[in-house]
Amino acid sequence: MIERETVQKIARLARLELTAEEIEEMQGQLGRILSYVEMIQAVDTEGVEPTAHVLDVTMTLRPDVPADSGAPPSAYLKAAPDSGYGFFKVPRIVEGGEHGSV
Amino acid sequence: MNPAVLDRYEPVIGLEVHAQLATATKMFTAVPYRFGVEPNTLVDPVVLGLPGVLPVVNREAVAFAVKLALAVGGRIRHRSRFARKHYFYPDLPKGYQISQYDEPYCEGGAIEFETADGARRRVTLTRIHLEEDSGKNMHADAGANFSLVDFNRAGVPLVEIVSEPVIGSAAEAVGYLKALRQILRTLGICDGNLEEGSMRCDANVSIRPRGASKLGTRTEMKNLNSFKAVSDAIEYEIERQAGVLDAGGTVVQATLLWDPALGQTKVLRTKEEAEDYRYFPEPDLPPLEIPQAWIDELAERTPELPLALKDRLVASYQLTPYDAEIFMNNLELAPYFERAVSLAGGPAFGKKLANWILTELLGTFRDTGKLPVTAEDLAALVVMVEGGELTGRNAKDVFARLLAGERDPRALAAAAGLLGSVGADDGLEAMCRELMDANPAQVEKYRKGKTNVLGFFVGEVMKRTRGKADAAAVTALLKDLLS
Repeated sequence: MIERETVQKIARLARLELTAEEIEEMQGQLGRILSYVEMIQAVDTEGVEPTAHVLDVTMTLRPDVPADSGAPPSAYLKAAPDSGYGFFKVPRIVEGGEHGSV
Repeated sequence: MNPAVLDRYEPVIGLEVHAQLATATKMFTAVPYRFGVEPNTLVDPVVLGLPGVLPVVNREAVAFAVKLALAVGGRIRHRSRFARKHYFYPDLPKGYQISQYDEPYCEGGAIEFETADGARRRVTLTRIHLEEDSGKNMHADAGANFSLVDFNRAGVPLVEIVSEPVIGSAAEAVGYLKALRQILRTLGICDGNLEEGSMRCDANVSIRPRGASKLGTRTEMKNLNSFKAVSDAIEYEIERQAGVLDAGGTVVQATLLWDPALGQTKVLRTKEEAEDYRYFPEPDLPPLEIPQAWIDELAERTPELPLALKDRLVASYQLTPYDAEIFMNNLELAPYFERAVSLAGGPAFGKKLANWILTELLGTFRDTGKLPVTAEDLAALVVMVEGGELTGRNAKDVFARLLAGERDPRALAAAAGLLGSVGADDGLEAMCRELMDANPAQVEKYRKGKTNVLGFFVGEVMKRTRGKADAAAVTALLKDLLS
C-alpha cells in the first residue's frame, strides 16, 4: 500500500480526478507495482550498463526534406472537438503569457 | 540602476537560451516551418501528437547542433538519449515535450565575447541539448471563455544552451547573448531573431553580499524577447532582490514573467508550485549515435567564428581592431575583402583595401545588402593607385563610375585620360613657372604674405594635369618656387 497523499499527488500530475474509492483502489494497485519493482531492484546490477532502449538498435536519421503531410491542414481542425478562426479552440487559459518551451 | 546596490551585492546570473534550428523541416517529422504563416497549416499527425505516430529525428537538426557544439568547444556525447518531459499545457499536444535530460548531446564549452571596454570574457556552458518547440497559445479577449492554439511552431527543432551561473551583470548578459547570436548566424543554423522568437532567453538571477561564497536564492525570468528586455529585467530583479535583503527579508525562489510595458516582473509560480516534469527516457527513440567520423566531417565545414576572424584580420592585415570589428559585424564583407587582397597581390594591400571598403562601400552594403563593385575591380583600382598610375583624386572618379555599374577601372581610367601621373620630371616645375609668369599679381600677393593664393596655383596645376599630379608634391613645389 502506498500513501493516500502520494496517489493524490500522482493523480494531480496526471490531471486525473479520482474518487475516494478510486484512490483506495489505486493505493493497492500502485503498491503492487512498486513491490514488483522492488523485486527487480534486488537483482545485483553491478557493472551492467543501464538499458537505454529495449531493442539493441541506434537511431535512424531522416534527411531534412519536406514531405506531404498526407491530409490538408483543415482536416485536422475539423477533427478537433472545437476550432475557429483557423485555430484549435481550448478552454480559456487562465495563466497569462505563453508557456513556450521550458 | 542604483550603483550602490552593486557595491554591496554581487549578482550571479545564468542564462538559458532556446534557439530554433533553421532546418527545412521539423525535428521529428518532415513538415516544413516558416514564421508568420496561416495558423495550423504546418502540421501533421506527429506535430499534433495524434495516436499511433512515431518520431523520426531530422539528421540536419543533429548536424546543426553538432556544429554549435564544435564552435563553443563542448564535449560531444557519441551516444545520447532523448527523454520525455511532462507537463500539461494546450500548446503541447502530446502532454510531453521530447527533450534531452540526463544525457544531453553536448556538455561544457564556452562562449567568448568582448565587453564594452574591449576586454575579453569567457562564459562557460553547462550543457546544450536538443528538443522540440511547443505551439503558441493566443488569448482571446477578456470576456471569451476560450483560448486559441496554433501548432505551426510545434515540433520545430531547438537547441537549449545553458550557461553556468557566472555572469556578473546585465551588460555582460547582453554581451554573451550577442556573441551567441553571432555564432548561431555565422554557422547558419539559426537566424537569431529575438522578436520573432527564433532565439529566446530566460535568465536565472540571484545576488549575494560581496565577499560571500554561498549563492543566494535565485529567481527565473521568462519572456525576455529583446536585448533591452534582458538588460532591463536583470537590473530590475537585482534591485528588487537587494531591496528584499536590505529590508531583512528573504528572496523566494520563483519563476517570474517580465512585462516590458510595465517594466516589472510578475510571479508565474513559486517553488511550492514548481512543476514535476517526471522525465523518463523516450521509449519511441533509440539512442542517438554521433560517430566521430561525422563530427570530423562537420568540423571541416564549420566556418571561422567572428572573434577569431577579428583577431586574424588584425594579425594578418594590420587592420585596426575597430576596422576588424566592422568586418566581424558584417560577415559577408570579410570574404570579399580577403578576395580583393589576394587579387591585389597580398596582405600589403590589406589596409588600403579595407579603407576603400569601409569608407566607400560599407554604406551601400548596409543599405542594400549588395556590393556593387567586384573584388576584381576594387583590387585593380587600388593596385593602380599604389603603383602611382592613378592619383587618389582620380581614383575616386573612377570608383564613382564602378559604383554606377561600369567595369574595368584600368580601361575607364585610360579612356578618360586619367592614367599615369605627372611628376616633377614630367615638366611639373616648368608648368608651375609658366603659371607664375602668367599671374604676376598673384605671385606678388603670396610674397606679401597672402599665402592662401597658393590654393589658386595648386588648383590650376591640377586642372592642367587633369588631376594626375600628386597634390602634396605640387604644393611643396609651388611653395618652394614662390618663396
